[in-house]
Amino acid sequence: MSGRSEITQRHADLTDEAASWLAALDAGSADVAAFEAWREADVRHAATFVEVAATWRDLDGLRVAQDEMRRAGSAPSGDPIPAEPIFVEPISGGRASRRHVLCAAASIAAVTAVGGGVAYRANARDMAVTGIGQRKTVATAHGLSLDLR
Amino acid sequence: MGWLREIDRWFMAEVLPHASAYRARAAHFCGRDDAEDLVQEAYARVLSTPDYRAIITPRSFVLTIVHNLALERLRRANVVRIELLASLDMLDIVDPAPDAFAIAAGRSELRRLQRLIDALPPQCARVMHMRKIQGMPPTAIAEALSISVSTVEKHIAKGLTLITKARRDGQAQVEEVCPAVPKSHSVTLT
Repeated sequence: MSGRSEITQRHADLTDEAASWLAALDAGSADVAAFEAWREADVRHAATFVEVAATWRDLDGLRVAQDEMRRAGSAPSGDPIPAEPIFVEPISGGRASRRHVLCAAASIAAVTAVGGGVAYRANARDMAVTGIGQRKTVATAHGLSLDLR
Repeated sequence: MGWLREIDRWFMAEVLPHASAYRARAAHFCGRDDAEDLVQEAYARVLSTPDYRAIITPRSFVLTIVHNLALERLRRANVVRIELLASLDMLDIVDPAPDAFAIAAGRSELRRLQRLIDALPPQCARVMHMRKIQGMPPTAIAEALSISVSTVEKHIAKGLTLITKARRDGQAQVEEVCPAVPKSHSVTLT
C-alpha cells in the first residue's frame, strides 16, 4: 500500500517533536504557551507527548533502583546524591485485585457468549461452498461481503 | 512534571501500561506496519474522550477502539484473510494474559531501560545517565561536560526519542510470543 513509509515517518517526526518539547520544558527553556498551543493543535501531538513523558517518568525508576541498592550497600559510591525527591505513585492493591476478578468474570461471560456464536456460525459456513470454477458472494456480520472462489 | 494535564496522568497510569496488548491486537488485524498507526489513532481517540473518568476498564476500552478501527480498515480493504473475520468476533477471549503486560515497572523493564541508555551514542548516553540516574539538573550537566545547556537539551531530546521508539519496537515483539488469536479458533476455507 502506498503511503506506508509516510505514516511511519510522521510518527517518527512527532516523537522527535514531543521529545524536544519535553527536553526544553525540563531545561526550563521552553515557551510554555507555545508548547500548550502545539499540544492543543492536534490530539496526536498530545498522545505522543504523553507517551514520551511516560518514558521520561519510567527512567526515574533507574534512579530509585540505584538508591535502593546504595542503601543496601551494594552500589559503587561516588555518584552524586539525587538533587530532588522522587515521587512514586503508590499501587492500589485492593483495586487491582478487584479489577482482576471483574476481568475473569467478563472473560467467562465472553467465552460463553462467543462459544455459542462460533458454533452457530460454523453451521452457517457449511452452506457457503463453491464448486470448482464457481464463484459466490456471501454477506457476513460487520457489513463485510466475501467473494468465494 | 508540571507539564502534564490530569488526563495525561490518567492515561499514563491506566492506558499506557497495556501498550503491548494494543499493539498485538492491532498487528494481528492490520500487520506490523499499520499497527503503530492504528494504536496512535486509538490513543488520540482516548485522549479526545471528554468523560474519560467514567471509563471503568481503560484497557478493554482501548482494545475495543483498536478493534473497531481495524474493522473500519478491513472494510476498506479489498482482500482480507478469512480467519480474521472469525477472530473479529472474539473480542474478549483473545486477551490471553490481562495483567502480564502491566508489569512494565518491574525489574526486567528497568534492566531494559538501562540497556537502552547504554546503547545510545556515547555523549547522548552520558547526558541521559547524568540527568536521569544521577539526577543532575541540565545546567550542572552542561558545566560538567563543558557544553551549552541547549546542547544538553538536544542530547536529552535525542535520547528520549530513541528510547521511546525502541520501547515501541519491544512491545511489538510481544505479539510473537503471545499470538492474539489461538490457532484453534481460526477458520480455514479452501
